[in-house]
Amino acid sequence: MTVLRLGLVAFVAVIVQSTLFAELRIEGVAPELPFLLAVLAGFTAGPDRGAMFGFAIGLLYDVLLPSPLGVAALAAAVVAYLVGAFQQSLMQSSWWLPYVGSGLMSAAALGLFALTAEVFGQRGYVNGDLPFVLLLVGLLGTAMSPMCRWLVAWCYGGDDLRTGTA
Amino acid sequence: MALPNRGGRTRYTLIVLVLSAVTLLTLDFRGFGPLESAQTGLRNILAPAQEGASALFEPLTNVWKGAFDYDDVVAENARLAEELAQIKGNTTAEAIARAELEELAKQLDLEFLGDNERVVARVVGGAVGNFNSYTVDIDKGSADGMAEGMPVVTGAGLVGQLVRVDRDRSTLQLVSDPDFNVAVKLSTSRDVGIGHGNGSDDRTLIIDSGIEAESVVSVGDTVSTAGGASRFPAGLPIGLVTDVQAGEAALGQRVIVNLGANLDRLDFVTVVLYDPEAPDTDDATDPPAAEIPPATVTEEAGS
Repeated sequence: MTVLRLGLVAFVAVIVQSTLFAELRIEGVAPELPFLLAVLAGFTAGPDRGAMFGFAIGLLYDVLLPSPLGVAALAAAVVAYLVGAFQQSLMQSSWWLPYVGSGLMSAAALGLFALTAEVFGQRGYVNGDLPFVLLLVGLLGTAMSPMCRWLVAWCYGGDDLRTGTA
Repeated sequence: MALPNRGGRTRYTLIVLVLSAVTLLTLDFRGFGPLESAQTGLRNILAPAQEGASALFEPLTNVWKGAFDYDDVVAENARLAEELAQIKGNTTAEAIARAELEELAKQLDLEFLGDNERVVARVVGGAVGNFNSYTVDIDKGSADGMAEGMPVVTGAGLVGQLVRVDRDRSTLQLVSDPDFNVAVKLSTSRDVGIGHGNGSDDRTLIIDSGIEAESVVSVGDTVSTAGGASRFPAGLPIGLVTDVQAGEAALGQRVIVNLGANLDRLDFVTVVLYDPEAPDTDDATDPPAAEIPPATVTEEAGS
């Protein structure tokens, strides 16, 4: 059931990203829902399953992006893994830290995505606009994280988010 | 901040995923056929859902654009009002020119495409994500005879080329992309050069190769595709020369071209079903300059 829910959420997220969020931009910057969900999967389910979900949703996202296949999957898996690895420390801090942390880490995933794309020979990913893009993506991710966190918790069966034991 | 006890296993998972991603990247770079087919198949599955979602979200995106692009609309309105005032204030010569322009507009109907087959498509989406903002999606694909590399135009001229073609949906690389290169010909000097997009300035194209230093290039000259060995047929209008600069080390001239098409407001576009390798393709014969619609510089999608 969890896999079905995750698949459904990943599918809907990528569709929303490629349609609604392709148009709803602030200063030309769009939210990065797939990366945010990958990060929240790491928070919720830990490094192992978080990385797997990150890889899957990143791969689906890759199919619609003009960048080579695998770049978003790599970035989302690595960042979801890192978030999952340090989830306990983050969860036991302030109540707001998971939300802000999710937003910031989704921006980090986008940064890793851009860096990886450049390393693999793509042009125009790392440029002077990137810090601004990352800042806005982080803010938008923070704003969306409460609802998305609920969604990811639903996928993993609604187990206690604070324990990370889905 | 220690990793969980089962860190060994999770690290193993991460290593497998990273290796998988790198393998996919490598295969994608090498153009591995089955992988490309799988991607195309998946996009074909996603396309109907994207169409449905676009229709569902359209009212919301319209409201959003109305609210947040208001300044752009005001600026555009001011610019158009200024242009209109200039036109109204001009003399008889311009009135004649305007009459000629109207005549050209009547004849326009994309006649510069000649006998080339064409397909009209609707722009259904912008760039996905925060990079590659020089692409848009259109609602036609290989089912309508399209293939990668085909030129895309509006009534005002060249807007780009197809870079990804699925069954019912395609991605168009806009002429403003710095990576977009096109062989161009100047109407007066008949010089042939290479033009490329100007990035964030989506109203101009830069020709910085092929125009000799001694060539006479004037502001207002018409620029069109050169044809020949190019992947585009000859004679597709691109725009008008707005500036001519000395090139680096005086090796040539740098020509700035004001694009005819308005890339900001694409709605419908026309895909030219042109195959440069087709045996009956005769793109070596340029149309006379008079056939290029120079007056369409500020026109929009005119399909």
